[in-house]
Amino acid sequence: MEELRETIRLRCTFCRSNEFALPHEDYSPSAGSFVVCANCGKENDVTSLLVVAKATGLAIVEDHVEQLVDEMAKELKRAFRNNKFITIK
Amino acid sequence: MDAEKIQSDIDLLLTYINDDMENIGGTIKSVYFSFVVGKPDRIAVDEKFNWPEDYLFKIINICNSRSLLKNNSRDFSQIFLTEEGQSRAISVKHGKNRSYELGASMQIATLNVHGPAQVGNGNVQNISNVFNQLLQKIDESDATDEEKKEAKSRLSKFLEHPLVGSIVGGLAGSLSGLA
Repeated sequence: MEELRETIRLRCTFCRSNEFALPHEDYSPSAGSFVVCANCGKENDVTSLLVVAKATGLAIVEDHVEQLVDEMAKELKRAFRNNKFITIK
Repeated sequence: MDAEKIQSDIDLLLTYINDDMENIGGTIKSVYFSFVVGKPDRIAVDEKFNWPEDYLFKIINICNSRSLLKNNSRDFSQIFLTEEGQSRAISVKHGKNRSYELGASMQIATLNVHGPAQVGNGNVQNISNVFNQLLQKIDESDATDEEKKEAKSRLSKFLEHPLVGSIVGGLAGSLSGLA
């Protein structure tokens, strides 16, 4: 099975920019803190940004699973197409 | 129409919706709002903002297009707040505009989420390392024993302050050099 790998970028909730102004390289914001958008300068709540990223991730996974199930159903139908004992609807 | 006013009115509406939802302990999946004439949400919004109906619906439509709200109805009777809408409402309420700081010794970078993101206790460990290094530097300095003791005492008082404690999680007791 093909492995699903996606990178989700956190996005400013005000202007949707992906770039943030960070105090130093490799900065990792703590939960409950804020990060400043490099485009509009507004503070974004980090925990909320992660919640949005999680929801985005779940939606991607759901789409992927749906696609896998559809493909599997097609494969099953194809495999049992000429079988007179099993019919897949 | 003034783009800034629209942004600001989006903020007002989202903050109102989020506050109302939090007041009843609801979640974005379980609570919806009805902005049909005569409904309690509509009455509250009319009283609070005094917007014409077409303007209110325009703001809701913009929010819907930007995934800040989800309109599950044609007559604006089932409006859900989304994760993004809630994120914006919380950021509006608790965050500041710090555009004046941009460019002043800050790195511009993207924040990516690859699987489980590091949020929380890992950062306390980093802070703990910083203070351990500081204690080491104090010990290694050429200062007298009394000066070293004074420096450590001030550091200890700083870390014992309730506000600092709430941020770094009672670090003072875990630093061996401060005993």
